[in-house]
Amino acid sequence: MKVAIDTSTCTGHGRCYVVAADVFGCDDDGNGVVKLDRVPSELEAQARRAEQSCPERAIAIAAGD
Amino acid sequence: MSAQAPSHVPAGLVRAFDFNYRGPIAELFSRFDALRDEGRALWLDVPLPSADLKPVRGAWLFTRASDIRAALQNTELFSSAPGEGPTVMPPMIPIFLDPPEHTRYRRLLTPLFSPAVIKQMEPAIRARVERMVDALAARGSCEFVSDFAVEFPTRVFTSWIGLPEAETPRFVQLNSVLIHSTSDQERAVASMSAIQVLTDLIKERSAQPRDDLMSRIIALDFDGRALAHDELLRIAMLLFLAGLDTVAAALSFSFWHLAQTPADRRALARKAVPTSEAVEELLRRHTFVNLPRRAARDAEFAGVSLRKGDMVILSLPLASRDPSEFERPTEVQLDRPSNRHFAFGLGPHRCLGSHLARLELQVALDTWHRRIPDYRLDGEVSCYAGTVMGITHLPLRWQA
Repeated sequence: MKVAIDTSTCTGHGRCYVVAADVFGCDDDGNGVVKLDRVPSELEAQARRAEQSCPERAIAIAAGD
Repeated sequence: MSAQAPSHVPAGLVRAFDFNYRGPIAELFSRFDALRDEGRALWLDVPLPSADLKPVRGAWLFTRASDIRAALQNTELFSSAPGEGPTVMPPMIPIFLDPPEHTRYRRLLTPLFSPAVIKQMEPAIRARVERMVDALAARGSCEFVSDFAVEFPTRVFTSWIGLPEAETPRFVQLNSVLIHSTSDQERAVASMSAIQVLTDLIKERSAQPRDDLMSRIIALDFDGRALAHDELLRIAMLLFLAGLDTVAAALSFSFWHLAQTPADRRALARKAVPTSEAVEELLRRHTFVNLPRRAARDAEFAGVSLRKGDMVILSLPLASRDPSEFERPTEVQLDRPSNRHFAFGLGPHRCLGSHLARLELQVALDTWHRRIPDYRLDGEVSCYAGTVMGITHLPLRWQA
């Protein structure tokens, strides 16, 4: 699984790095950053939850590596 | 009724809707939900009270979460600039600005409200809540709104920005008039008092900075210059208005639900659900802000023709409770797996104070349920509507 944040849409709600702290972190303003763009299978549920928690729909998930 | 709507509004879309609803709390949110079946876009033929805009007769309302999201993210079409005519206060920064001006101020202020900065406030906030809850626990009952929900965030805010905490009751009063009064005269008087309080604070901290938020804002470098007094005042005014009453409303709605729902109280007390996720779900189901915007030009949107200057209401409760985005949206599911709620708005104007609000809510729910795990409603609950909604009276009891 691969994840990406659309930085032009992210406004720093901060949900991704709360629900998926192993996959996402944040910059100094609180905008989300991807820590692991290739998500190992044990963290896929976390990454999906982050995608489902982003009010801006700024997180994209793609299958494969 | 339809005679009042502008000629470009189809008569079939005109609805009466009372934003000053004062009826039972059970219908506070469902009356918004009911509008969803009336159409994708409606024209509400009503006077709209709000913090800064003069009441306007009539506004568009979009009922679908997808349209509301698109509108919040499209500041080029949906402007936040106040309309023409007198306002009771100077336009607040950055909420009443559009990009690119908005972007410059927002970029300047955002680091002061980042999760990392707010996290440093946690020990002091926790200690404050523990003191308040300890004092209440012994009493066996309380009126939650005035005894806790208003007092707690107001004290956090006043000490953070640098205002004297002893004057909290006065700030609560000013804030309440500015946000809820329907009298322009009353609001103008309260506005002048608030401007005086904040002007004094700005002058004092400009002369002698301290370790508080006002001093940090004064010290900011705005593209090579300091912020002018007028800019500082317009920023401080927004913080004063936005930071007090919203957390109080969120706390009150949450405890209103929990007082009636033993299973959810137990889940919180036993930490069966992360408090952070419970807070998101309580915010979603009780999303309480309706945001005013203005069409910046003629455009087609949500199946209707907007005319430049038309007032638009972006109803966050309608979006947060839309069944096309949330399964069984009127129910609380504390660990709801998919929760892209709208409680803090979204797009470039996303609530700047959201990280502080979340921290305050999490600490309050945690501490309260550790100390007072069981409680119930103890009388009539009353609420207020307006573009911002909340609870005025919430009696709770935990001892016979």
